[in-house]
Amino acid sequence: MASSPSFEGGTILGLDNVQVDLPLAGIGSRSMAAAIDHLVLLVLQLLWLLAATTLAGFSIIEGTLIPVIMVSGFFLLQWGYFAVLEMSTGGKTVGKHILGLRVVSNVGGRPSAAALLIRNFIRTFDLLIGVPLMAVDSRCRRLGDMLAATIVVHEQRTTAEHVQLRRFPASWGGQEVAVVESFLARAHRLEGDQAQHMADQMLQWIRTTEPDFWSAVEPNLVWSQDRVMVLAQVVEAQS
Amino acid sequence: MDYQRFVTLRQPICDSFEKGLEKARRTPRELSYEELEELSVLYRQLLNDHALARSRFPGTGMARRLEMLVLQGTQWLQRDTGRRLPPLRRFLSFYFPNAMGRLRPQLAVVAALFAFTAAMGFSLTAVEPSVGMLFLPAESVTGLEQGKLWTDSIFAVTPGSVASTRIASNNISVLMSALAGGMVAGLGALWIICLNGMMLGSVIALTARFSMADGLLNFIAAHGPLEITLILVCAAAGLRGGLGLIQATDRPRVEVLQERGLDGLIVLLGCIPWMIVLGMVEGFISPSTQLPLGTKVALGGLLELVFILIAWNPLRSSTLTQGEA
Repeated sequence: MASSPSFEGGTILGLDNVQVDLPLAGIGSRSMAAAIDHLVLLVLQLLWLLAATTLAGFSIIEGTLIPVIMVSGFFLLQWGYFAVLEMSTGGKTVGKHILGLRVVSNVGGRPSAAALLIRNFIRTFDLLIGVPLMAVDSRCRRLGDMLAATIVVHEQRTTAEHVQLRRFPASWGGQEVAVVESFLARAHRLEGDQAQHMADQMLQWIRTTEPDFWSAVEPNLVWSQDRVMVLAQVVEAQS
Repeated sequence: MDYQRFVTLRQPICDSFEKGLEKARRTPRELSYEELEELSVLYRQLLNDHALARSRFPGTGMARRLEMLVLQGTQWLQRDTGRRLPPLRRFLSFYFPNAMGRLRPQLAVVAALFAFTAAMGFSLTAVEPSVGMLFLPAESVTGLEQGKLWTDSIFAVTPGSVASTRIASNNISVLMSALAGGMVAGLGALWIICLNGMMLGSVIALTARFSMADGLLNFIAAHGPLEITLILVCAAAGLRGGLGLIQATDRPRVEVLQERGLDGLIVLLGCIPWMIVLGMVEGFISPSTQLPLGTKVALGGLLELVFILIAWNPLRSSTLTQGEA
């Protein structure tokens, strides 16, 4: 039986020295998130430019103020986009949100504002050295992350759908339960009638190895051609 | 304990924690102390259950659910308390001056390097004027040949407010680059210091060659001294961080880097407001031809003095308070 997923370098010690595996984000997803963010930044800068020229065109604000607004806006967007978004959303930017990533402290908690500022003021230099550093670091950190004691994790695993059995034979241990749960979670992704065939085999297995359990469950079963549904009924699968 | 019993016993704890966490996320301000305490107790219980499930029932739905709840709980309940930004008064009385105090050795190095490169730029340009021309656009050199300082033409067509904003944002970018560049093994900071030193020395020599050095000094007298000081300070902070990456000590490099990174941020935050002030001085006061040189020198000296007094505050507190320790 496969053990729970482990992430090299992503294991932290929580309270009472309990090991927790953080789902670290890799170079690919982080680079993609950064690319999306730079695209968003470019769009914001263009919008800023458009807004400033529109204001100038309609003489809403004084002419000399236009360059001031434009220069300060560009400067603030350039240096503040990442830091301000991460501080206000608890470690997310637009790119990270789309890819389901989040910045956390190196113990898996919420990073402080200071840590988020530190990891972002060095971003320009990390565009050059960040990727090679992430490639060699076991926690996939760039220099900004090392300075700020932060890491980037996937959020999907913390919100992923999973199947849990509510009813199963008393003699079953974790392995048997894990096999059925794992099958039910993935059944819809199997090709052709593989899922039906496997579900049928599992029902046969339960019927022959757990006759007492089967006799208690069978009277209430609603039989159908969809054997996966029948199996889900037998074990009262809940997602 | 068999799996069925484990599930039966832990299911209510999971449900209760999930419900409490959802409420805490949605309306954190409405959370009472008792509710938060209960959430923390449940979190601790779940951590231990997670450890048990991970070793006894790996791969099961319950193990996955516990892992998911533990990750969510860790993200919400644990906060990085060691890197909080202090209130302004505490920042000025303790954090900023103490961070500045730790910079002295690196500041001496970058100041010496700046002086050396400035002298080198001056000497080279005095001997070979084409060196100084590398740092100025062709039209500025043509202007010098015609007896006009390039700053006159810039400020003649650019309003003070625009110039101030542009100068302040540019100078703040230089501070950030000096600091961040320094963290890369000190290389970026050294590059910025050498470049600025060479540029200053060369430009002074070049203007002196055209008998316009007094005009340049008149222009930089009010903002120049502090501007150079701030660049040196941020470069020194960057260099200190970069040395943490190189030097071997009895502490892990990452730990040293994190400590110096925080110091760097404190120094940067202490310097940025000054760059905004200097942007205004450079945009409005420095180009003025009505203000006498003495006034500009006095203003430059005063700004430098106030910064030094704040940065190396002689009355600074040197101990952490209970909450900061």
